[in-house]
Amino acid sequence: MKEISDVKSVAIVGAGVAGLATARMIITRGLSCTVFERSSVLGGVWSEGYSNFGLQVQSELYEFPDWPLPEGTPDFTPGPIVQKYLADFSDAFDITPYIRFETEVVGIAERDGPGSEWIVTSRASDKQSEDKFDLVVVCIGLYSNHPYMPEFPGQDDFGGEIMHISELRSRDLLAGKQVAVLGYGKSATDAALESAAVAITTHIVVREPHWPLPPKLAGILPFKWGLLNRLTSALIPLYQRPTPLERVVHGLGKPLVWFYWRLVEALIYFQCRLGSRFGTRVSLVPKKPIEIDAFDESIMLPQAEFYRLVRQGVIEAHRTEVEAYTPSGLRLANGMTFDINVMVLATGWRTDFGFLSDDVWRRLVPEDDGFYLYRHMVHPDVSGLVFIGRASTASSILTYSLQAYWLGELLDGAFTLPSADKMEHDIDEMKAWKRAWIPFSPARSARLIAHMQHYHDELVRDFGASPWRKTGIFAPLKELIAPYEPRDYMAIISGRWRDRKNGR
Amino acid sequence: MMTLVWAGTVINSVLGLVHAVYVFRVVANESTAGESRAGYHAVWTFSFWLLLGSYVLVLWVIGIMLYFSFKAFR
Repeated sequence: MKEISDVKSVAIVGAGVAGLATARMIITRGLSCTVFERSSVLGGVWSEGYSNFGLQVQSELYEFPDWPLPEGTPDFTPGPIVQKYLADFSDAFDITPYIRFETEVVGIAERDGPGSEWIVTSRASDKQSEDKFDLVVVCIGLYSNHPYMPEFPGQDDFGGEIMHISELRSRDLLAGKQVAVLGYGKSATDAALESAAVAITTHIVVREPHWPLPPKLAGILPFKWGLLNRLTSALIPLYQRPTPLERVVHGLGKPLVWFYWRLVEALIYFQCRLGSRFGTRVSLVPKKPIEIDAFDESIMLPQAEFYRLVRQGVIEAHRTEVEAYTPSGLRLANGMTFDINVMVLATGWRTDFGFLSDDVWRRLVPEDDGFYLYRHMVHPDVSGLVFIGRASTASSILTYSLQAYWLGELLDGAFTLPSADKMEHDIDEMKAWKRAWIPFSPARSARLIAHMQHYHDELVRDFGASPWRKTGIFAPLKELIAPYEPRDYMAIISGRWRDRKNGR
Repeated sequence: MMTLVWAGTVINSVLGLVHAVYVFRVVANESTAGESRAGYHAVWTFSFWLLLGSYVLVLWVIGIMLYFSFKAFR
């Protein structure tokens, strides 16, 4: 294996947000770059989606740091607008010519074992080909394009239709039907809303409710002020490498931290009226404390009308599990049965890294909660393979941009990776830290969510920039309470920070 | 009452000073602007504690009462 600073050719798997951010950094450095994209359009999850899909955050939280969304872009931006934005980004940075569309990667392996160059096997139409690269960057996100579709007894005799959320391309598919939605993430609540608009009846079956994050706290304050600032980062459960101040806050100040989160819970409880005895006599108050629940599989930023429709009984919420299908509907674990024609499974996606060779996969040490990486990007036992986009945060586009920039700086030789032993040690600590308190999920290894501020600080420190990005006379105040957004990192991603550091 | 106010001010001053020194050291090490920026952050930190420290302390005391009550009755 060549030294990382000697890399000349790079393969990027996936032309979604992470792939585009990475490709830009590779192309800027004059390296040979090939982006493999299985679809005919770029954008990854934004190239296609369920009916009425879109951002679940305000638009300023979902833009490349130095490439703002067009003026007038609506908040909670619809998916097609995001896809167009990504296509414009790709054209502006001349990435598109490097993308091999409709080319699926089916194999990634080292030619002569660990440390040798990489062979990427891809398939376009019926033609299979192999290419050699010094470095492979996997940018396919946390999940695959294979839907996770749980099965229940009686499924074969069920007379209705069972579809995954990804198949719900138009609400017309639900018009005049009796619909049940399984799940309680953003997509589940979106599907329920789509159904409520056109279906005869809409049920949503919720095994474990989560604390929702209203778009505006108390109807006034955008949620980013309550989630994405340094103050909140210090109040959530301690980071893997807490600062001395955070240790004090969670030690001596523990009652204050506890009190703060109970106040937040009370605020959301009353704002969303979670304690209402909804149509089916259940409340939607979660069991887990909000500061833990926020790190669970589903982050809940439902559209405002979801809870209103549930309270009105337009959407019937069932806090239980599906026990079985009946020939005409569903039987729930609480004994309730009802008729449905359509079952929408908003149950997410399977993880699938089947294109990695068995040897590489084994060395990544996959476990039930995923595989753990140093800085969520590299594994000490698999040199020349980098994962960008395998970190789940509250502002993924910012995280992926910083990861891509970090990789670019690494390729430039601006910093070096620690020894393999140190990376192993860091990974072991991360495993223990996450498993101590983050609820289990198949992607727990990748979950950072509100800890993204700590993670971003570490990435930025690695290549020698200052993590303190706020400017102006009120900078100290802003550092404490103002939300960190992609544009705060504009100088870094554009490279201007280095000029300033060098006094140019 | 005045005694309580003075006691709170003294506590906040001490906490603010410790926090300000900590902030100064962190920012000075990591900022391209160096000690001038770090000093500015430190002054703000100390001022925050003087102005708002009493509220923090009151909430901390309320938090202690509620936290232990909650734990005791749960």
